[in-house]
Amino acid sequence: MRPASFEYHRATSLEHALELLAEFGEDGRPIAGGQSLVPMMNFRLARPGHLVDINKLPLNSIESDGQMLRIGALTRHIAYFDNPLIARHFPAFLDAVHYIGHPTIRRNGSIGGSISHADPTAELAAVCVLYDAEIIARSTAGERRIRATDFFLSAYVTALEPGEMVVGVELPVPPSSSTGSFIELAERSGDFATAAIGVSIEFSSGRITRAAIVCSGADLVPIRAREAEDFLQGKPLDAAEASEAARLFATSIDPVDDHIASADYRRGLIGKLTQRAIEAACNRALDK
Amino acid sequence: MIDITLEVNGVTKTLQVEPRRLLADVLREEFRLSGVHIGCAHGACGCCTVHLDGTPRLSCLTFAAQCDGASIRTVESIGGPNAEHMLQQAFKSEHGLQCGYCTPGFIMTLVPFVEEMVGQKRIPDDAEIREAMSGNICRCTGYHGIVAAVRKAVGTGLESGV
Amino acid sequence: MKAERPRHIGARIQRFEDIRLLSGSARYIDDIRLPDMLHLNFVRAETAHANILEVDTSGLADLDFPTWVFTGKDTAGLSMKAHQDYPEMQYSEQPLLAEGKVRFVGEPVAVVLAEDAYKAEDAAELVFVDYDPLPVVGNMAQARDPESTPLFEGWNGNVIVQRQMKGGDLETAKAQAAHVIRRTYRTQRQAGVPMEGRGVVASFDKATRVLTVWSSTQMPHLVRTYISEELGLPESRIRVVAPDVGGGFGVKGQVFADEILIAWLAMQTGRPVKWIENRREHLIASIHARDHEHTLEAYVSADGRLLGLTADITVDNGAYSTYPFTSAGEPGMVGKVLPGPYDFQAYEATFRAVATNKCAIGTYRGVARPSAVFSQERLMDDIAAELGLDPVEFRLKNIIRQFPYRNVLGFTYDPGSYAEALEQIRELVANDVAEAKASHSCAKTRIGVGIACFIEQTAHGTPDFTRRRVPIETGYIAARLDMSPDGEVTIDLGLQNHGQGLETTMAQVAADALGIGPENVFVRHGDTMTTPYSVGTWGSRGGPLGGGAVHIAATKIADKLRAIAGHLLQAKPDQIELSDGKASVRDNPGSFIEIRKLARIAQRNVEQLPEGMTPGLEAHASLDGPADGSYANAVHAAVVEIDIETGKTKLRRFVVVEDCGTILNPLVVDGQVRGGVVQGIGSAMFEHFIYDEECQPLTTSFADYLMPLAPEIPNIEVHHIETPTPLTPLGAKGLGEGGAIGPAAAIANAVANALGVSVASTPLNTNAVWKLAQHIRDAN
Repeated sequence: MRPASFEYHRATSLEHALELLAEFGEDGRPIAGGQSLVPMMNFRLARPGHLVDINKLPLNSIESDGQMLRIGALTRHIAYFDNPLIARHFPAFLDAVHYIGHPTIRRNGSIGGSISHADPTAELAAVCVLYDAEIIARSTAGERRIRATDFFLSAYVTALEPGEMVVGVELPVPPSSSTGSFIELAERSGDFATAAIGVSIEFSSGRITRAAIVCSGADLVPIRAREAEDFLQGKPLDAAEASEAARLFATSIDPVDDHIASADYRRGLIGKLTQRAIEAACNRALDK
Repeated sequence: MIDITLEVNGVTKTLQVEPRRLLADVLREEFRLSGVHIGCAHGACGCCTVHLDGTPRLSCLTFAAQCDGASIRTVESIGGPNAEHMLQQAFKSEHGLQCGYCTPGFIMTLVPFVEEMVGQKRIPDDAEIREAMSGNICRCTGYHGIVAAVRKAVGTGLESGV
Repeated sequence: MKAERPRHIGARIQRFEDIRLLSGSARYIDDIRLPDMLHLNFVRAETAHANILEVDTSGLADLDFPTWVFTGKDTAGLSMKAHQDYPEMQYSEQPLLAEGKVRFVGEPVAVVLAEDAYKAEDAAELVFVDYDPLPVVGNMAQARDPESTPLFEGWNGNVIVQRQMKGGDLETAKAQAAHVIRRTYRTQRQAGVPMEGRGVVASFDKATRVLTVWSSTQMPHLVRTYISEELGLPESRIRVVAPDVGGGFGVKGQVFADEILIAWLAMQTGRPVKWIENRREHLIASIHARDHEHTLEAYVSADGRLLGLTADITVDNGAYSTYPFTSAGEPGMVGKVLPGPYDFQAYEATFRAVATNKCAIGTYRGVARPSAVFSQERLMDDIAAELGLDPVEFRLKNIIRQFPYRNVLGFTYDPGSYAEALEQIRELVANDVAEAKASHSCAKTRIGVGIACFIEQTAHGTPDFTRRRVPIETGYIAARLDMSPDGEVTIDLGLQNHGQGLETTMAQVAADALGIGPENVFVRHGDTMTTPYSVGTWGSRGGPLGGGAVHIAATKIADKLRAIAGHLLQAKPDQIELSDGKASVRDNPGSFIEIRKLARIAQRNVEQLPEGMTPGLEAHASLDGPADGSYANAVHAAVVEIDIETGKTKLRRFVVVEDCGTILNPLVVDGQVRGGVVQGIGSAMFEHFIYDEECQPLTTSFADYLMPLAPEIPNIEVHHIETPTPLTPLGAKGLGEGGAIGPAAAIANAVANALGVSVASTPLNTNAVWKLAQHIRDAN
């Protein structure tokens, strides 16, 4: 369990990194924290011929202009815990970070690495889908902005082209009368989720004006519960409608039946977590 | 092969390595640091935890080539050959280890946590301690003695005003 | 000569071995490096059952570094033979490298050696094996089908062995029974999974013709014996060393084909050979454990007395029989221990091992008993539920109270505290029981309390192995003690220490016998060159037998010290007391001589010895276990809190009341119990080796094989009762395994209590508990 041979390149600037990735095409991979890529390499399930180390690039910032929150690709998961912008505007995001791996993974893993790896139940992938994020990808051909729902194509498959890398993620900042929650169930703390639900709601005068719901564990990529989202629009914040929204969503999904969990269980669990996440978001709204 | 310079436990060395060599292997083979243990080689057990520029890091998920110019600490530097760090002493008094294989990884993960708690002048509750070690697997102790050791080490740190 | 008043036995002494382990200076198998060493990488079967058409190694020729490659053709005839002397057993041999056929995914087909471990892995990828697949035997039902493809030539079906054991008058019990309760219970495939995997280094010295093998093993002497028998080298020319071993738990308590193979390769290549197992190999191809199905039928009187029991026991053994406990060991153990702590005198068990295309079953902490106790204690709760009795009351009604007790199979139980332990635990969890009851009308969160009451045969001696005709053959532990002229003591111990604290506890035992401090005793172990022949560390025998052997040998030296001191102090030897480093005359404390002075006289100033006394202070002792072993007992209690809607199960409390006789060191005893319990929690809730229908393993990394992490585990509360056994010199019973035996039963009983259902199988992961709670969700 040691990696196959590769050549190592330390990128000194973004342009340098993109040139290297352009040169190597499918045989090149950027490496940041390595928390997802290196295990795959040690099992020899991934064997890039060239690694482009992007850790020295200035992509490690969380900034907001009031409209958009921009997160640099190298931002480590631990940075979200004490970031006031995340706490104020993205409560489901902050909830989700608590479920990522364990402290050493959170210190070293990056958002760019996590979403490029595209594990079906990775928390940050779900967060991006929940908040209608745009993934900012760069190559020598220029910048591409990819909606999160278009970015994750399947398990471990993204819309990134050879030579392209994620440089950041942009999330529209929700209005102040908004809140959210994220709930996950895993067999042990820090494990990849059996299922996870994120909810973000906007509200006015005690009613939900807009709802977003994301689910990991129902499909090979995080999916939105559009029907349930529409259903919640205009409903009161007392969460009486949460179970009906959850039921609408749970009956619409067709989760996989495998050795980790049965399809019945996944469906039942997703329904219940959906209900609880909506209730939690509504409770937060009422507390605001 | 590429040239890298590493400062490990205060000793600086320049060496040639294949890019694919894991930091864990380079510390073990080139620096002869037997306290770096490989438990799974896929980042799921914490045995190989070292400090890279002051931060706990899994040395099985790190290429030595990435560490050029970095400063690295392993368990050998924490309390010397007599394991004199207060956390190591607490592991001993609270029976926080049995076979010892996972122990260096736990020490390297938990020393910064103990220091942080002492800095905050508080004794963490059990849930916090257990969360702090949630990336490390111990198969012998059932974690009980390790939790007690962390609590004790923080207490010792607070008393001595470190 | 009477033993001195214990000063160190029973003391909470911090371990001497800790400093090297904490400082990073311990030496594990991967720290063994030799000049010119070659690194080995296995080419392992990717198909579960297939004929090998070709092993193509031609790709290695293109490499720009030297390699050595060996296949089953090279090792033909060399094999592991793990035969239990039962006439009806179907024998199999495990070739060191597959010959003609592979029988499980992960079976070694070829080895590639190179001068660097990374390069050896590169080279192994270039070996291509062409397989012609055969139908797989994937589970117990398929294996019991006489039409299934036999795994071995000449076999009739895939039942390896099927036997019976019985005692008492079952017909009368059936006739008298007011209730007959029949249940089937299942425990899943799992393993010990130490944090250090396995590993072997071997080196052959042409000059002396001495073969040295370092192995991360619990039984170096048995490895030596097997290598000698298989490779035809005298044992005197083989040295096996177990360096620091990073956990064993029984996984490293067998002799493995690779230990023989790597020794052979070192001789073939003339170069030292090193193999460090990687985690994937460990999870698919070292040793698995459990994988049992038991159908039990209990006969119970109208007033709740257990009258008799029948059991039908099947173990999915995987492909090969392991040495030295064999395929029959696991199911036979269930048959042997199912009578447990309960008083009934009619019993019949049918046990069988079946062969499937999976990794072989071997030993893991508790060896079959976690499964046996799961079934036994689930059954007790199921009977109590059927009869409308309180589970503790029902147990107390049937618990054995008179000792020694001769059980239905003729095994004699030494004194224990079965009823006291039950009563004590009832007190300890009384509030939880009340809280649980109150929660049982709740549709969202339920609390459950479960207990598991069990005994454990420990330190069993040679007759137990003779009866079973098992290749281990014997069960003794030996120790050799030497007091040097400076008064310091060396123990060369036949046990191997891999976390049990033997370097400390054995020093405590010697110190008490010799009147010195434990810090003056140096314990060496794990090296066949320096330690006396013994069977190794397994079967909960370190404390009772290792400690006993050390005590006997130390007492021999103490007797000699007393004789010398008596001579010098003009007192009778039996008036001399050894304590605090001094030999003093009883009732005359002013008359004494320092023990280190006696040690010098015995070896340097020998002219001062009594006339005719030979110089030297050495002693050897070996101690076999009692014929039926010594029975430790314990009760475990689990308190769970279940989220009915998601199946998430939180372990709120885990309480142990245990009795291992004399406690040598409470720090170590508590650590052993707690560690065992948490492994048992893993068995109960998380850990499961899963194979698909083609017998492909699906749990090949720590992302799939889920061992307990700290946040899932509560503090483990441990309480002791001490009933010393008359059967071992110090009154100690074995305790290393006990912690792992009860949790699956206790947790399953707690889940059953919370949900008001019977629980038939483990693991109780979230999906399983969610399913068990279906009726509660349906009712709301």
